[in-house]
Amino acid sequence: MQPLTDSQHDYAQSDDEQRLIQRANADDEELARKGLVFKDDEIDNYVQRVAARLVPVVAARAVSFRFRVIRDPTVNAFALPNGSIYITVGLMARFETETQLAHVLSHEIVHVVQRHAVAQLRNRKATMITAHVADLVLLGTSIAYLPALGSLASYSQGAESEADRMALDYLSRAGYPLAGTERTFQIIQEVKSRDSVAGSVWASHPGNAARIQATREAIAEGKLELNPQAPDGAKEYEAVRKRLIITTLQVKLNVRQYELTVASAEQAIVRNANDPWSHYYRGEAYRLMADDPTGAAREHAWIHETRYNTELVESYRKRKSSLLDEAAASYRQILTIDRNFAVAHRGLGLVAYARGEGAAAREALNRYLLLGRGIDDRRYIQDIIGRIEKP
Amino acid sequence: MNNFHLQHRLWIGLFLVLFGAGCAQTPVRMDPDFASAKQTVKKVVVLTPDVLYQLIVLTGENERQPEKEKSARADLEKKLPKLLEARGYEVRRFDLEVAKTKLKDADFTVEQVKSAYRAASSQLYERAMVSEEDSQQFRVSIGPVGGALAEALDADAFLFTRFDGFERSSGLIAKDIAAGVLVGVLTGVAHVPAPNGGSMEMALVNAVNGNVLWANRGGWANRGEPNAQFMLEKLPRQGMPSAGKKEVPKDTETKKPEEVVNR
Repeated sequence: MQPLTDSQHDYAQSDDEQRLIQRANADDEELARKGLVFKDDEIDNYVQRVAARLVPVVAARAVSFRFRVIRDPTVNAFALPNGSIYITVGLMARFETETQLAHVLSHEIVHVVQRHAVAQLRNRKATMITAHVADLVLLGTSIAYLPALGSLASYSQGAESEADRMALDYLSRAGYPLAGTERTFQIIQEVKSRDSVAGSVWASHPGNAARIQATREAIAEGKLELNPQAPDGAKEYEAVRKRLIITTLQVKLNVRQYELTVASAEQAIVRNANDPWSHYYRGEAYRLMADDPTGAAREHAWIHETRYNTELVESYRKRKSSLLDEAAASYRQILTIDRNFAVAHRGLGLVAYARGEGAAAREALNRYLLLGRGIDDRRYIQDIIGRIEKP
Repeated sequence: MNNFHLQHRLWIGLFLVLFGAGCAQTPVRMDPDFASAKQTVKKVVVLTPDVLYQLIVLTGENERQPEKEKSARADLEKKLPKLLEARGYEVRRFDLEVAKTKLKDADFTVEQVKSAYRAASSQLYERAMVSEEDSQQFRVSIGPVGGALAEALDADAFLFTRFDGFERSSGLIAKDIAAGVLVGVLTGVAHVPAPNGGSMEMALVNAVNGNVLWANRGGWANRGEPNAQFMLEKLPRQGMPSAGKKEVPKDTETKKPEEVVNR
């Protein structure tokens, strides 16, 4: 199959590729309809600028590439066969330089240019038909579907290795320094194994150690321009990352990723100890862990690949008091930065309420209502105050 | 995609086995305070149902059926308000465009509310079926994430609805028949999977504090359409004390609930 950089390519000519493109268009619409596409002109323009340096001109004539950031807490990026490339806020918030962002975008661009989706589709068909044959032999128990399911989630290792290899070439041509590329894999490696999802670019990749080794070997071959003097864009990227961190923490908390929120918030605090929002989300994560031992236990088991059971839930119940202490410490830290930071009072009020300290809770929550502007949980807080005041 | 297919099989199988065996087990979940919460939960916003309808094909490349999805969604949007009203609730029809005029980023807020319910749902349904008594002891919350939306829409509660429907392609049916015949020859009992089916989940959530007041799940074979009436039959009627719900004995207050989530 000819890549899009080959003038003889037959992109979107076959029925199966057309169907793939239609499905990709529908996915685009769904993501937009659900408001998942991150709307921030500054970030949007920045990503488009970086991507524009990377897309091969010939390929851009065949496919209209579109780059979007989505409000998803997972560490993920993916390419659709219609040229749509998505990168999550969860992943963007972890990077340190523009080179790392460009590295991931290049990897995704290669999937589109090399038409890996249609190749994978044809490969999947073969896999599934084999699975159905086995299913028949296994008397319809469906056991044979299970190994085939994994292969549906992502591209083949061969395609991923090709994307890694070619991404270096794209980066080099765009003038990015290749010396920083190993760090991309290290950052991904730091991610808890379950912080990426099935179908993620990282899910079926060769192991990161192998990827780092392959990157070193490709660079050592001496065929690529290394651009050692080129800027890695760390300073510009820091401004982008700052804009994303709060959204990342919000969406993580919403799906009960308490431990991961704490980890991300603490990373942000290391970078900027005076950012009240990072302290706030650290506090929220601890407070909600105390209030939701089941959710906290489920997340713990998920991250650390341990057994989820009643003992684990009980261990979180027993830690309730210390978790609330951690939360309160974070909220109090905010007040040393800004005494009138409304949500810090909210947090302290809810901690006091969880401890059964009605008067303290009422005072802090009323202060929150007094200080807060555009409060969107007024009814929730008033409901709690009402319960405290109920004789 | 295939997880979805397997899940259907599991749900349908569970219903057939448990109801067939006459066990007093139920997929219904209820907050123990639902009876008192009902006094304040009157205006319900029916959120746009999430619908997935797939053609299960032999190649494994299951195909979504946009027309069937649209039709199922329209059917639900038409029937749900009437069914809720019949149970004594005041219904607020959800209109995203109207919500957008009142709330910045309304589309994302709705998605966040739904996403929070999905996370809560995995806690509610750690076990598929529970005893009638245990079914009334679920304290699970989605937190205050829906507060702004509730304010904008003047709602006391949200109704979440999810329908997953499927139909099997003719190739897959032929394969299943062949497998069924083979099983029949060997065991004397032939089983052929249903050509279509569906499963639903519905939940009524307090819009102010996020508590899941009531939830129900169900699945069925040989019917690829939603069955909202069947699902809502277990929703207690508004204005009638504890309808469809046994009084919880006082001593259960000391019993450890299945889930306790207070945000």
